[in-house]
Amino acid sequence: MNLLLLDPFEVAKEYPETLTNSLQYGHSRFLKFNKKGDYLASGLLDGSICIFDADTNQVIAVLKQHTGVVQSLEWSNCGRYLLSSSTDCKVLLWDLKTKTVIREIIFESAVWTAQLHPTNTFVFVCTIFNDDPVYVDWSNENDIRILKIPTTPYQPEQSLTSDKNEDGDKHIEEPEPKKQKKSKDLAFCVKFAYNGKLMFMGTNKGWLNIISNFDNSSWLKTIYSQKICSSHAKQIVISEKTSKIFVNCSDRIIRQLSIHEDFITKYLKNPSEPTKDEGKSEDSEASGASATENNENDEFEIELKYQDVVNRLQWNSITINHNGEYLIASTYGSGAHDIYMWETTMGSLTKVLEGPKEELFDIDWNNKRCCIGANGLDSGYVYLWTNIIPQKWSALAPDFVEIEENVEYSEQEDEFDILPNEEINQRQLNEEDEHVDIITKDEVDARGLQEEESFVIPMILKKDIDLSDGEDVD
Amino acid sequence: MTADYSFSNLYNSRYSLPPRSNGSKSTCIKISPDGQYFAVSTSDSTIAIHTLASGKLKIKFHGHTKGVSDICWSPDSHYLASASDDRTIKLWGLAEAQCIRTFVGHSYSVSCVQFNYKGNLLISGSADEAIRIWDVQRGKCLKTLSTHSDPISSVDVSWDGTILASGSYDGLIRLFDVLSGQCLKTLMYEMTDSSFPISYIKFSPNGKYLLSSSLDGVIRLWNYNNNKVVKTYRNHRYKPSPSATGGGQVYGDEELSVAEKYTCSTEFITVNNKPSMIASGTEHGNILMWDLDTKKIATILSTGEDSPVLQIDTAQSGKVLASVTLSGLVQVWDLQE
Repeated sequence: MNLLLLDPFEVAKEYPETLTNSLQYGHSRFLKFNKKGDYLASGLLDGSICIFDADTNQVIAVLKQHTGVVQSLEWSNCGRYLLSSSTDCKVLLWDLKTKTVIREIIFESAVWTAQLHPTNTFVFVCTIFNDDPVYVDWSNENDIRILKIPTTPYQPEQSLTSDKNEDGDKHIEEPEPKKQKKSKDLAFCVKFAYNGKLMFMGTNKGWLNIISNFDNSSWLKTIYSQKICSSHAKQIVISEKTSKIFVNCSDRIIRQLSIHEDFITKYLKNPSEPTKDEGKSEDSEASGASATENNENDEFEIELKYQDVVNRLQWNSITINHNGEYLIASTYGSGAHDIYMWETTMGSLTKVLEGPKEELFDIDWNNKRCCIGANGLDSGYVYLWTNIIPQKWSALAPDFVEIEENVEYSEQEDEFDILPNEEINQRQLNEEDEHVDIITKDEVDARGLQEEESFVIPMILKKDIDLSDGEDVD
Repeated sequence: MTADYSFSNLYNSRYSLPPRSNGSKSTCIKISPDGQYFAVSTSDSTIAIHTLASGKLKIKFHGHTKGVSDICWSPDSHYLASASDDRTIKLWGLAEAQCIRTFVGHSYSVSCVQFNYKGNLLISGSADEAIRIWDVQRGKCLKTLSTHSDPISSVDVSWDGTILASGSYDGLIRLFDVLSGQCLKTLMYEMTDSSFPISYIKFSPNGKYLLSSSLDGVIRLWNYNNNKVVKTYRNHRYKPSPSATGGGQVYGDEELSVAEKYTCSTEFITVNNKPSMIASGTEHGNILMWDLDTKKIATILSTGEDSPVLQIDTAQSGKVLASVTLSGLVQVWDLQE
């Protein structure tokens, strides 16, 4: 609500520009703002997770259970639960009301990332080091369902395609790429999209696989694949609003893919029947995979490629803002200390966020407060970039207005009229006729973001904290 | 204006607690957000917690060295903050039954305290003309806002915790950004040549309006976005009517102030299916309620004492009302269904 009273030009700024704060607690490795932007979770090298209160910039909770580096953190939409994964092979679900672990799972090897289902807090997908990614449903504590997700690119089944595919003459080409593969495909990242109905997976061979999460015959099966590069696909970011997918590949290029309009109708509206079009695209895909990147039949068109042509920098981590209009990336290497920001319609470099004199590792965007957070690789500090809105001095005096240039004052007709008190009172009363609504709250803020109720982490105040801090108080 | 309505008995008194025998003055009453308890603060530096349902005394907090002016429950009802003339704010734990934090920093009597909705920040206003924002967890002052030129009488925070409003005896209402501490806006009533001290302010439930009580005895509802007073609520003199039966009163032309000397607090009453009302204590032992839109007095609750009703507080949007007079009379009222 404060945004309405601030300088509209400052509020309209879409990204932060100045490094304003650094938070220190342990050695931060992964960071994530909650949806409302009032808490920041930071995963540490030693496996602890600390939660900062964005109002006071203080640690309000430290969650200890992991024994390895925290690899990923995910807030539930309501802000009450936190999913964490670590190299100690564990994935934990925390309830921040009690600050305890309510679900725990141990895999056989280290976990890369874990991602929560957008609407169901008790479903997540995670990618595991040297193993297939898994889909876990642990809504029932005693009956945890763990299902492996295939990583091989989509191959239309013979029976399925022969039934309905009319141009079956191309089928002979299909088994070929399958045979060529000697090593197994490994997934580095899996992301839920479209309300959790689909999963996007990036593999070490540069495939982008789409996995269905519809409760039908194709559940947890790859329903479409597209080769987008010949290196690892490290990270996927999806902007549903603008129908864009950003894939951070280890060949130092971030690829921006656009999702065709008919993709949604094809895979979301009628998901139970993979159509023949799909088979067709797969056919041409298989035949032309090695040659071209932009195949006409591909569902995703590579729109833009982001890379640093001069320094050939590798990108550590990427993220986008709430409407997908800006993409930011942190850079790999001890000589690189900056965050690059591009706007995503033309792909031009908008801003380079500078500040800390060290390599930045993980980044996250706090949309609600227009703030970008990043952690330093060497120091483990969390750096925050925000916009400093200058004080409007006219706000301090009710009858002052700030103007850019001198304005010649023109007196109003009735400005110095002397009116009898009754008339003034009557005028005032007439003005007070309007209906006043004191209950309805605005649904969106001045930046157009939803105003949502979010979980408030309960404070536990102990007297001993007071005593230990007491000496600082004069 | 003529008398065109009757005083309906909107509220029934559930019980009342008589003034204490030692003659100490009461200053504030607040119902806990969970509706379990209410707390009463006094000028002899004690705070008493009672069960709301029965009025039974649960616990008494002693610790301040001077009178307590204002109290505020934390949103989770576990803690109670108190502002005292001994220049400190203390935070009391209900479960711990003791003081767990003391906020030191103000250089003169602290007049008002308010939590934000998350309970992680505490806002205080003081007679030293400063407003302070405190980090509750650490008990430290985060910001000091010194833009008023007279004692602060009242502070409030909007429901989303982003705007802080303050009223001061310098006649100004200022709005601040909680996060940056910047002054966002200043409101001053322009119709008069001299401005009257602001005694109490309160945000509307949706935070779009601000209700201010000033010592000219008038309550005003501001739309702070366009600096306009949208409603003015006044008290009118009542004459006992000889003709009416049942001790009815007639609404006269003469105006009487709501409060010119004391800070009598206001509340919004927004019970479902009923028109919204503004409630305020008066200097003469009554609680007045106006219809929000028509500005007409909807009901008058009489405490039976000729002592200012310093504080009223509501639970469940106004279904339950608690009041305290300076003399120490506590009353709990129920809305008639």
